[in-house]
Amino acid sequence: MLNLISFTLCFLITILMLFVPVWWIFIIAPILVSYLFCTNYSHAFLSGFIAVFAAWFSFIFIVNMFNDEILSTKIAEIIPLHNPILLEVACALVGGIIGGFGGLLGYSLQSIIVFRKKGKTKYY
Amino acid sequence: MIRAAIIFTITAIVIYLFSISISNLPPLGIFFHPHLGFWGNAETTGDKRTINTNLHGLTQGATVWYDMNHVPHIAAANEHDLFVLQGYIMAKDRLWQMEFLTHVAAGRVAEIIGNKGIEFDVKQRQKGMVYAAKNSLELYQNDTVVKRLLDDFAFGVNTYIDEMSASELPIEYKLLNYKPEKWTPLKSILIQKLMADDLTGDVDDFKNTAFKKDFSLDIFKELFSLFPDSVDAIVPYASAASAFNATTKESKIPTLYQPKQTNTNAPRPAFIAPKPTSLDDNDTATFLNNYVPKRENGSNNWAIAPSKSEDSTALLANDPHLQLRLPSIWYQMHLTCPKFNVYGVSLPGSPLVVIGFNEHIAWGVTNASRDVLDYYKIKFKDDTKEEYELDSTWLKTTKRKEIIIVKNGTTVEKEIIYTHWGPLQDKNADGNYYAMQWMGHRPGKEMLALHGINKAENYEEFQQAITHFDCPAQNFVFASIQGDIAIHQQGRFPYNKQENALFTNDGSSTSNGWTSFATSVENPKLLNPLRGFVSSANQHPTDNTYSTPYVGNFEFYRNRIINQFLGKKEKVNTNDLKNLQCNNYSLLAAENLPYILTLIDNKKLDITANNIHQILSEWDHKYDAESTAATYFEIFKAELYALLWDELDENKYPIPDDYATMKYLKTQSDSALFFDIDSTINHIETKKELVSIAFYATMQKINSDKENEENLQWYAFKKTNITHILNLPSFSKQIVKIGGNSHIVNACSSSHGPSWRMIVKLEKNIPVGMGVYPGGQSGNPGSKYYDNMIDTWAKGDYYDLVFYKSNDVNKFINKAKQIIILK
Repeated sequence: MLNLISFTLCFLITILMLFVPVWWIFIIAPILVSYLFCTNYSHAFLSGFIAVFAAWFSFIFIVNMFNDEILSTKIAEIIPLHNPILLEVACALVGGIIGGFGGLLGYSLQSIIVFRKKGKTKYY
Repeated sequence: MIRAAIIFTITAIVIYLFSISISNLPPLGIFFHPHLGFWGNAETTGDKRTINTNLHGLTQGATVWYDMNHVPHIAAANEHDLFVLQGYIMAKDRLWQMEFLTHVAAGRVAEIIGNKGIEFDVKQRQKGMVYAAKNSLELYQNDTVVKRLLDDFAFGVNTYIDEMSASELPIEYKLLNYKPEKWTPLKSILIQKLMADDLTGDVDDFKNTAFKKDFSLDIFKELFSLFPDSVDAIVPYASAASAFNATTKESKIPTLYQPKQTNTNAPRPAFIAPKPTSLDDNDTATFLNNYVPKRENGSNNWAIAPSKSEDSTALLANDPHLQLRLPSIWYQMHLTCPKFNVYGVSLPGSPLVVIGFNEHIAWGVTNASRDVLDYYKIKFKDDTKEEYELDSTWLKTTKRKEIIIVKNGTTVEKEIIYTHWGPLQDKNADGNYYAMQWMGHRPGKEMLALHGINKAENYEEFQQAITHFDCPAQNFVFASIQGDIAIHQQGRFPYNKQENALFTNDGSSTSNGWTSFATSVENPKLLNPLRGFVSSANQHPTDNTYSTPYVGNFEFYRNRIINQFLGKKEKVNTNDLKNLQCNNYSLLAAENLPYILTLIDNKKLDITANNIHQILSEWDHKYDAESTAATYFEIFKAELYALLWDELDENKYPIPDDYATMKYLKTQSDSALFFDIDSTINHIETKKELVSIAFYATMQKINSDKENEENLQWYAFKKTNITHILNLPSFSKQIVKIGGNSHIVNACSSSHGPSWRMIVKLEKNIPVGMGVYPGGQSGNPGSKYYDNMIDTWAKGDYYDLVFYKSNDVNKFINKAKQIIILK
């Protein structure tokens, strides 16, 4: 259940962040989500990877469909993957990798923030 | 803490690696991004949208609607708003192309593509392209009309650049990883100078001089100094007074002069198609070869008088033949505001309409093909090149430091020396320095001419307007709803001795230069001739009774097909004109092939050879797309030319054109100099032997291709490719199924062809236009409007152009695919 919530949250924030003109800004989605929900590093990486991959792929899939594959067919020759579906996967993979690292980063932040809280209690 | 820091660092490195360009690939993180990357250019194919937007800088509201072919119809409140919107709307579809072409013109390609562009950039700087554009811009500073419209246009382009989202950025910027800079009036003029260079930049002065030196002036005259025997001039002066009863208004009575003509089209085998390249092509970028001026540029135009037209309305047709490119060379627009209503094609990056029609008149252009580029040998005082000799005195040179910025961050400096003739070229193979003198360097008011033409309401206003057009000189064809038709060769022409134009000159004497110029009044022109039509197809502008001597690259076949076609028909309609524009008949083949075939002894031929001989004899001389005979003839012609002119290295000498070659074959005796084949040392070939050897070589070529019989269909063999500016194959349309060739009215070769076919019927109420070009309105390869008109063009079909009087806009706007309402 928690996984489903974290996936949905990460997916939606990633989609929203696609409209910000800084291409890597969507990374804050997996950082935030894995900070809140993840329990270990592999879990963190995978949850970030899967959610961002899915978000990118769905977005691309819809754009490509409304474009009747006009552009993806051409770009697939330049890159060169020779197949629009492979191109879609390759693109989403880039998002997924960054998403995975975002997940790791988010999880690692858990310990930092916790450490600071402890510090505060010590002070009082 | 440490772990977090490590993960943070790795993440940053991964993001960085996806942000930079590795081995010629664009930065993949950005390029693959679902919104900011290339996916942002994947336009939704379904449309019907209304967009409300603000465009600060407009004095009043305006509307732009796009029709089924994505042609924008702009309705503005005044000319100021109209040109702001022309820039804005053009940039919306063609920004990358517009800017890239200005970089090509100015020699700034290395900034975008790196080292591969340096050599090309240096050449462009040596041509003085920016110098030429600045000269014109300076002249416009005192011209309120043009200065204003160039400023308005630039403002419109910049408005689009400023408001464009990162996702909308044209895909080529994303691929090559750079951003557009601000548009300026100078850039619009650079676009025009690029066209001027393309249309006037190909001269053979150095090759001619080498030929004269290594052979003789007599042989040169024999092969190149030809005024064809049966020249069918644009303005036949000799007969103008009598049979044509032309009103050659105000022109001087031509006096006789001794005709001498220069060479024209060098034979280029049609089957050498430009090789497409990919982005990781490591040599000098091959697509830049497209910007070396080529002779295949040409055009047809004609106008029909009401007396010769089925519906008693004047008709006009034009098809400029330029290099076939994507995004298309032209952009269709319909521009309206009070007292301004014009439809036609514009050059992306430049305001106004170049070829089109308004409510009263229609006009079109073909290249005048006259020589307005000469070279002068410079004698320097010493190696510093500070001073050079002119009329026994020493003149100071001007040195300009040109800085070429290269993409990798380095710069290359090149000093360009200017003489009063023009910029100095690299040291020539003969050890001397030459300066160029080009009409394009002299300031001209071509934009003012276009503005006047766009608004002209009758012949008087039209002919007044075109007098401002200096370079590249054009044959302007005209027709009006009043029923007038006319043709004017308009441009600025020097009174230049023919030998000065043909060969390189001694630059130490003013008298070798251009001392005076023909006035517009003296330019050849024809108004309402009795025969009921005017036409041009890059042929000689006049017969040999015209007073001003001239040389140029003239075409000999297309124009006669047009004139024969129009001359034979008593009445014509628009369908006839469509058929004529798409006519694949080869007069070159019809006039010469039967004779050449008689030179082959067909009793000695084996079965295959006999078969080919028969196919060629029975051929109807039409270059239809599926014709194999046309392919056979082209192979035969290429073999024949190669053997006949084997003495002439094409990098060193000029090659006689089709007319001269055929004349040589027909008129020279068996033992003439060039019939011998150099490589056969012990034998001197006769004419018959030469033709037979060429024929056998042809047969072998054909047989080696026999297994793939489809490859011998003319279109498959010719390979008409419409290539993207960067030669990216997947952004190009390859092997388009279309017939024709360069000496044919449907002048579609492998790389060049009719870049806009237009026919206008000048009905009294409102002109009716038909048109098509090989491409699409959008410059975005991700749009369905990128190449949607190509099939229609190849089939020889046309679209009805949507044109109406300004207050009828509401009858048409409901057909809109997209509407932009501006406040």
